[in-house]
Amino acid sequence: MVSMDAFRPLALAGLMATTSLGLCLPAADAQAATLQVGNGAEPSTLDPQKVSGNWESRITRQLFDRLVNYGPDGALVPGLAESWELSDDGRVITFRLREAQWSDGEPITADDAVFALQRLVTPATANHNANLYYPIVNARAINTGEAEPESLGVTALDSRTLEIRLSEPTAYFLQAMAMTEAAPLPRHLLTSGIEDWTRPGTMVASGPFVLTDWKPQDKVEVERNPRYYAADEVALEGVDFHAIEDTSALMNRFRSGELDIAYGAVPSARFEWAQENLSESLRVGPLIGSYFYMLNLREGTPLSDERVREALNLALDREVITERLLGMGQTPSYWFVPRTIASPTSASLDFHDQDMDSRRARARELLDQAGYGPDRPLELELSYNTLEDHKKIAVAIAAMWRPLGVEIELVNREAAVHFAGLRQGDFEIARYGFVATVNDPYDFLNAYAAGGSAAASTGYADPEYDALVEASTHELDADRRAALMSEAEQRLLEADVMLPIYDYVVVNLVSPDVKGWQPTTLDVHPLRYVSVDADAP
Amino acid sequence: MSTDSLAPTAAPVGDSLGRDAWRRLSQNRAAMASLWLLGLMTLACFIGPWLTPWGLADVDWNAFDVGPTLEGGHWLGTDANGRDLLTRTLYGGQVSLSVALVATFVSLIIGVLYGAVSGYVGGRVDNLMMRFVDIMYSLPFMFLVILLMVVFGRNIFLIYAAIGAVEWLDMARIVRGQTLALKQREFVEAAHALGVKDGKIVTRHLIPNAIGPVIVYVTLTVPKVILLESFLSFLGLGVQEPLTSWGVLISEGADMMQTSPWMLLVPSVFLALTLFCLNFLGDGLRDALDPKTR
Repeated sequence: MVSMDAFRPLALAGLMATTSLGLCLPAADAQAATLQVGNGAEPSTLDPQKVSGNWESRITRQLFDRLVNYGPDGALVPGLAESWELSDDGRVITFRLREAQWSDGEPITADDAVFALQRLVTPATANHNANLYYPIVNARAINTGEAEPESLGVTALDSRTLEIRLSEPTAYFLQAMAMTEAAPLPRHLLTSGIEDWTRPGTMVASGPFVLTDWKPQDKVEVERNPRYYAADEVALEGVDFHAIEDTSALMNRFRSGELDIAYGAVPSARFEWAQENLSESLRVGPLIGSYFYMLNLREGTPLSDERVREALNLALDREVITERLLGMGQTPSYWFVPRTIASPTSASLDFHDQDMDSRRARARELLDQAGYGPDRPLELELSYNTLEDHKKIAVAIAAMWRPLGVEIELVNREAAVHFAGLRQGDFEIARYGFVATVNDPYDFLNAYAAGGSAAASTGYADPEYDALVEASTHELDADRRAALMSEAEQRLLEADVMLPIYDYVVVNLVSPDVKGWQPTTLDVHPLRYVSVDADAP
Repeated sequence: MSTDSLAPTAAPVGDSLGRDAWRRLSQNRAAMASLWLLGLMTLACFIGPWLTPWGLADVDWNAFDVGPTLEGGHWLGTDANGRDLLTRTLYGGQVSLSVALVATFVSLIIGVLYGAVSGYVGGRVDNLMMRFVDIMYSLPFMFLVILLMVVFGRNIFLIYAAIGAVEWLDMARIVRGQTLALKQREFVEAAHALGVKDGKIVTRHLIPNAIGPVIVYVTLTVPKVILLESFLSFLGLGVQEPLTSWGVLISEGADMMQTSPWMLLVPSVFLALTLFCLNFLGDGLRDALDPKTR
């Protein structure tokens, strides 16, 4: 899963038509264009195994093809692998790689894929999704430092055949291979002793685009990769990913024509206005993501007391937030795994159908038992990354809790600082957004399992929960699997380890000139299939 | 120039500098009206929030983002979170006005004395004092604020300190320049010849004569400080929710001006009115305090 700053503007923006150079460009477009994308926060890295936010993986997915790619509609399609086979017992996958080259002309081989997967589970890489790959033989042992990376169950049978051995059949595994961290990496470059291989000019790419420039706090520029195996089909000359975090700024720049696509560019306060005035550009749809508040469960904060957490959960009026505060069609959530996911779970907070008054009364009681009250107010710090809607929600929630004698100190931090603070466990209550990278509840539940990113941030550890999640990955019967996952999720909810708020919708602005862009529930949009009608010079 | 130190004992008692200035200021209608208005504004900001039915962070769950209305009790509307805009603007005024007042006062006291001494004494002392100012100038402001935050934690008084620590530098330079010009003038030499002490020459003769540019500069400093504070708050270094300031309210309002113009208009009117008053008052003060216009 990828952390997402909800509504972090990813604007695919301003289309700047460049004049045709008279090269053999793909069929219809006489003029090739550079697509202008507003991409939210400044990326902290472009190493596909070290990225953590969707504003980063949006770029790396264009630079590095995986063995299995996303199609224009988000479905899985062959990428660097032209075909694959699953053995009858579901434990061995054999990928047949196509003939392809890195952007420096070196061939892309099965060894590059082996190298990348070994690096992915090496503890030093600290990939926050590494536990999604635990089904691979020995991956868990390597990731916890108990085995050498070479012992990973991944073998290059020849230069174009890759075999992956799984310890158990795993339902979602092919989807995990489409994630940006699973992309084969240029082994010849990474092993050459170079210090930072992700710099422009140094980095070589396997995807449709190659990195040409990176201006910090301004934009990342990529150009069409002439050595890409399907270079003829790529219509765009290049893409500029602008680092624009502020939603209003994104929307304004989209309106002025500087941006062609703006992801999440509409602040809730201007949503109605946008519906009326930007209807032909506004693309609204469900997104498999969960907006929630993470709670630090470690000893030493009042939140280590389960009664306090339950009281906070009870007094949080989700309908007010989704209906009156945001009004963009989000679903109030009493669960962690969004209901829009394929094979949804059925877990839910048990007070879900009680009315607010009795919930508040119960919350008061619990706080009273925990020793807090008007004489001894509960003081907590709530941090969020600086963005209009995050602030609105935080302010509203603080106001919902105040009548219970809960005093909230609101702390806004810049996105990079906020998420770094989360990784280090430096928070009490923190805003978070999880967006699925794999369309399966496991993607979410795994975050709180041992080794998962949320478990690391919050200090949550429950062996029974881990066992349930683990068991669900090996269960191939859909109903029994759903039951196991629901049971696991219910455990999380009963312990009140988080405060779920709503299931995401995604709101993007896409210029009508942009062709081939489709809304997807994972919010992945391969730009390889995108073109722009560039009539104006 | 003041005459009291020179007045022969038999002559009628002369007006003091202060009383004289006040007499002239009170004849200036625009300045007096501004003074009253500023007083009212300050009073409203510091007492008003007790009188409005809403608190700083109270959310009216039935009135998100409503325009000015008499019925719901939100006379100037609510913000996107359903908080009463009048109440928030008044609270914001507390922060903005006190930051402006404190920072400007600090810059006035330190800057004027520092500049006058530096200019009057001259020579090596002048050189040392001004190089110190240069060094202070070369410290990046943001750096200073972030350093202060790291050392002392997040605190609103830090903003006062940080802004005050930077704003006196300009003032010191202006006053030094004035002093350098003034100390060659005849009345200073006359004072010397009569045996007036250096300290007295600086406070009674040099500073009053330099007051014109100083007052003008002060009236420019106040809006600058208010804007600086909103800039810091915008970056998350200044005031934190639910506390607010005029600058923060305006920057929030600007984002919403298409759909909820009152959110921009209300704090802007308060800020603009304050700045107008300060300008008129500054103008009046300059006239009143300038010894040459007597």
